[in-house]
Amino acid sequence: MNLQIVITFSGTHAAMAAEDIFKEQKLDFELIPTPREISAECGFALLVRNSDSNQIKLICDQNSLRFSDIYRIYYNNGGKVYEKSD
Amino acid sequence: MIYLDNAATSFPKAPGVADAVSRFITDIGANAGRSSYSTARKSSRIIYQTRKLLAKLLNTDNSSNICFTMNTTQALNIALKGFVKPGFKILTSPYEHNSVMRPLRQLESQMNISLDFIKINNYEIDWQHLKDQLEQKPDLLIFTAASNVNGYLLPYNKIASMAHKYDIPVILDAAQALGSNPVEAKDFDIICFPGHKGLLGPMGTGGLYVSDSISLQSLMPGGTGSRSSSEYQPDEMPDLLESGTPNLPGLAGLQVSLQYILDTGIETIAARKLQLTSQFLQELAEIEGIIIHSPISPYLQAGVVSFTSLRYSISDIAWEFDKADIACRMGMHCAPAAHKQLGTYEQGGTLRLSPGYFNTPADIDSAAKLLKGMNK
Repeated sequence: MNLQIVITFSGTHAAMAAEDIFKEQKLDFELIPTPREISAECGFALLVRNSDSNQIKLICDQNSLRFSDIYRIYYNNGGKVYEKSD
Repeated sequence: MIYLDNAATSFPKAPGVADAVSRFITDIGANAGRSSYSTARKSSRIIYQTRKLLAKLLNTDNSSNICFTMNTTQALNIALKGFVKPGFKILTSPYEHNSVMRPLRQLESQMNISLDFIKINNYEIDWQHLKDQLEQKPDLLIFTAASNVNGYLLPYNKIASMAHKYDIPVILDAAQALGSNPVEAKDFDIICFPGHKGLLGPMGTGGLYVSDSISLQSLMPGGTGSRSSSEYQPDEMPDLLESGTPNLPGLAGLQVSLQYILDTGIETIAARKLQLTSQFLQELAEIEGIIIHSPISPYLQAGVVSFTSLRYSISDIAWEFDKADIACRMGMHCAPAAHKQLGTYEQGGTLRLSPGYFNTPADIDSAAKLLKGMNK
C-alpha cells in the first residue's frame, strides 16, 4: 500500500517554503529527519500522508517549490521501501 | 538620556524586540536548518519568516535571494569581493562611507581596479557627466542611497535606472535609507542593508538582496546544513552566502522589528524623522555662528543633520552634549570621502545629530536650547 510521500530539499529555505504551501493546501504533513536510505543532503525532509505523488509534484511545480526529489514509501516484508518518483 | 545618534544605530529598538531576543535565548536556543526537532524547527521558521518580511519590505517574491549578515559592511564586502574581477572599472559617489570606500581601496591595490566618481554639486547630480561616465561602460556602479554624514538623499532610483539603460550592474548601500525610504528589489542588482538602524532591530543583523542577474562567489564557504555530503559550497541561494551559525537571537528580534515597520508604514516613519529633522534645521538656522552642512529641503533629506560652529570646536560642543546627556556623534563618521566632498575634512568633520522614530519635538528642543545657551 502506498500511503506516504517524502520530499527532499536542497536547503532549509525551500523546505520552509514548502511547509507554508502545504499548510495552505491543507495537506497532512510533518518535518522529519531525512531518511538516510534516500539522501544525506539536508537534515530534514517533509513527510506527506498522501498517496498521490503526482498531485504533490504538481503542487510543488505550481508554487515553484525547489525540491530535490519525491519518494513514495512502501512497506514490504515489514521494511520500508523508498521509491523515487519520476 | 536623549538619544540623537540613530544614524549610528537606532535606539530604542522597536517594541517587543528585546523580548524576542531574550525569549529566543531562554526558550528556543536551537540551531537552524540542521535538525527537525521542535525547537530547531522554530529556529528555522524564525529565519524563514524574517526573510519573508524583508522580501515584503523590498517588494519582491524572491525571499530566497536575501542573505543575512552581521551588518552592512559585511554585506558590502560579500557583494564587492564576490563580484569584482581584476581590472574592473567601478563608478561610485563622493558620499560613500568607509564600508564602501575601504573595500574599494583594497580592491584598487589588490586587483588593479579603477575608480571614478559621480559629480555632485550642491546636492545636484551632474546628469550629463553621469551619462558620459556610463557611456564609458564601467563594470559596476556602487553607491549609497543616503549619506550617513549629512542625510543627503541621493536620487537613487533615477541613478540606478540610468545605469541599467547601459546594462551596468548596480549595488545600493541602503544603510541609511531602508526602513524610512522605499527601496525595491526590482530597481537594483544588489541591496546591502543593516538590521539595527532604520529597521529598528538588534545589532549584529544585516543582509543583502542579490538579484538572479548576479552571480556571486562565496567569500566564506562552510557549513550550511544543506548538501552536507559535499565538501563544496552549495550554489543555491541563500545558502551560497550564509555559512556557519547565524545570529538567531538577533534575527528573532529583527523579525519583530520588521513586522512593526510594516505595520507602522515607512511613510509614517519617514514623516516623523523629517519633521524632527526640519525642526532642528530651523532651530540651527537661528543660532549665530552655526554652519549647517546638510540639505535643508525635506526632499533631499534622510534625517541626519551635520553642522559646525564658528565659535566653538565640534569637540567642545560634543562635550557639552555629553554633559547634558544628549547622544550625538562628532568627527568623520567613518566617511572621509563625504567630508572631503562637503569641505569639512580639514577641520576634522562635523557634529551630527540624527533623530529616530521614537524621538519627540521636545528632544530636538533640548538639543537646540543647549546650543543657544552656549552662545550666551
